[in-house]
Amino acid sequence: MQCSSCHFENMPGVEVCGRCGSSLRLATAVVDVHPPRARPWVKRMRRTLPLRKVSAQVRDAVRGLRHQAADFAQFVGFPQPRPGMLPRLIVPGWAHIHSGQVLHGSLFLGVYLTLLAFGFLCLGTQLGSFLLGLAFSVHLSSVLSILFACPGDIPSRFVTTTVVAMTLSLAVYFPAGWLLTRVADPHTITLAVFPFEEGDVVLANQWAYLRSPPQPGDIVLYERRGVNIPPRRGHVAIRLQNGQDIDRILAGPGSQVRWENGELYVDGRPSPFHPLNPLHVPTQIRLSVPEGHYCILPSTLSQTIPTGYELPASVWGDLSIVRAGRIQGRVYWRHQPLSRMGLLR
Amino acid sequence: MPRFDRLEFDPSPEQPGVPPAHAADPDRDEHYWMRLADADRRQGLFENALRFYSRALELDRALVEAWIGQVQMLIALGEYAEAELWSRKALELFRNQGGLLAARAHALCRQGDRKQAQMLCDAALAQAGHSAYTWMVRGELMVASKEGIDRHCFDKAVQIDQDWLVLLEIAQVYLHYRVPSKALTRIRQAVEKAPDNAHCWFVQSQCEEALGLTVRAQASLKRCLEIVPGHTEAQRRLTTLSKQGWSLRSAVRRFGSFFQRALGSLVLKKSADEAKAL
Repeated sequence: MQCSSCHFENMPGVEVCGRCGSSLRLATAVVDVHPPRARPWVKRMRRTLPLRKVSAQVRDAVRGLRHQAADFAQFVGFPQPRPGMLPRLIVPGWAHIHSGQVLHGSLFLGVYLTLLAFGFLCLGTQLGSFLLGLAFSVHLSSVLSILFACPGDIPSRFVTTTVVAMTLSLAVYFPAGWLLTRVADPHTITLAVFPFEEGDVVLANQWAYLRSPPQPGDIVLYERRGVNIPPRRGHVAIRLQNGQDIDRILAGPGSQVRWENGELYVDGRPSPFHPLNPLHVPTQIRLSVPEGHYCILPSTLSQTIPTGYELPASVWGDLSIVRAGRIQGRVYWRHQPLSRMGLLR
Repeated sequence: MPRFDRLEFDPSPEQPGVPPAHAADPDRDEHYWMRLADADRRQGLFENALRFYSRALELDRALVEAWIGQVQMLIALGEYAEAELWSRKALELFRNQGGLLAARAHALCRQGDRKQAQMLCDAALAQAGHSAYTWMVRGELMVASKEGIDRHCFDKAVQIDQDWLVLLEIAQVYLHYRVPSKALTRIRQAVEKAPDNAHCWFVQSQCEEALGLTVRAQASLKRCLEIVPGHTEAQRRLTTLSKQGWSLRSAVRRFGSFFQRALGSLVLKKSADEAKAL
């Protein structure tokens, strides 16, 4: 039997050509010989939206870029890890464990996790930053130890180190840091005002009010407006600049607030909430909270006002009404010092 | 003798796949349908040609030329995805057949997948016995990727097969990729070889029209209509060209050609003056 494709003379009885593998039973096989046809609207649509062409072009472009990147890496002497190693470089030590260097990998991972844990424990302090920086260095070292497995010259290693450090920073640590500061933004207290001491670190959740509005009783980080403080005898008038403060929300929008002799009344009823430092609030304040605003008595402000000055009742009224947009997050945790670490209520 | 029952001699006259209607008419064998398909293809009647290729395959499924012809007709009809699918199916039956590989490369090239088309074309050229079609597909790939060496591939195709159909199809490739000047060169050669073919004249008119040679295009269309008076597409194009008035595109093109000519004559004059001065 002669193959119709390659004209090879096959033995009788065989079903496929011994040379090219074509079927020799075409005469008896049931094969549809009428080709599929495209409908006119399909042809029109293909002309209008050449998806296949675009996808092929995108695929070729990606492939070309990959080749160019590989060529460039080879040109500058950038080491190329084995396939499958690249995603494992995100976790320090994982690539080592994967390639059989279990001790090295465990060491890298252990040291990294320890430094990371202590760094988080000291978040907001210089020691915390130092420990987190060390953790980053360990991560970088673990990646470089994989990439420098093969010998290379010093300039190429320098370029590799720079590129890897930048990639790790931009691809891993910058997004992770950004996410962390959304839910645990550390704030260091610079002036000792009850209940905080100088050097205390508190954590604020900036995403606390994404879904629900702030509630009375929440301790919040907010932006205080700047106010002019009138002079007392023998002093000049000064301006208290705007800045960040931490205090408790006492009443919501549309409430009538009355503060009398250390007791808070909201809409005529006594309220269980008090400012953080009630001793520094005047004996009597009456406020009406407009819509879209909250009542926060700035009780932790007293230490920022110079000696010889005091806030008149009208200024207290101005400072205590805070627009909802000025509330930056909920303060929920005292992180430093470790002896007083705990929830803020 | 039962031991010789399974020996194969000449194929039996009753083939199981052959329909009785065709079997009844011994003149209408697969070669008859192939001839019809080829004739219609040369006239630009691709739908009919496709149908005739299918008829030929009904009689003989091992006719590789008919499979290739079907794919070529599907491409000529602009059904590239179907052509690619059909060529794949044919390649399942005829593995690594050069012509079918080239046909699949052709379909993929028209779909814009040049990388894969290039690989398939290489595979087609690696097979024994190159056909003109394989080199034509190679040339088309060069045109599509604007590599500028398409001429050599097309010349090779023409060298392998002296048929004017090859020249006509090369011209159509150039027209598809909007290179009418090169298409005109090829189609003129085809017209010289087959002056009685209406489709050649029609394609020539398309090239001339694309180049802005309206009068020449009209003459080509008239010649096409002289050969085939019922050529509806030629009639339609001729009517359109006759009614064609002023258009911004043609004005810009004319202004461009005038500017080029003026610039050329100025340069020639200057060089002549310089030569005189020397």
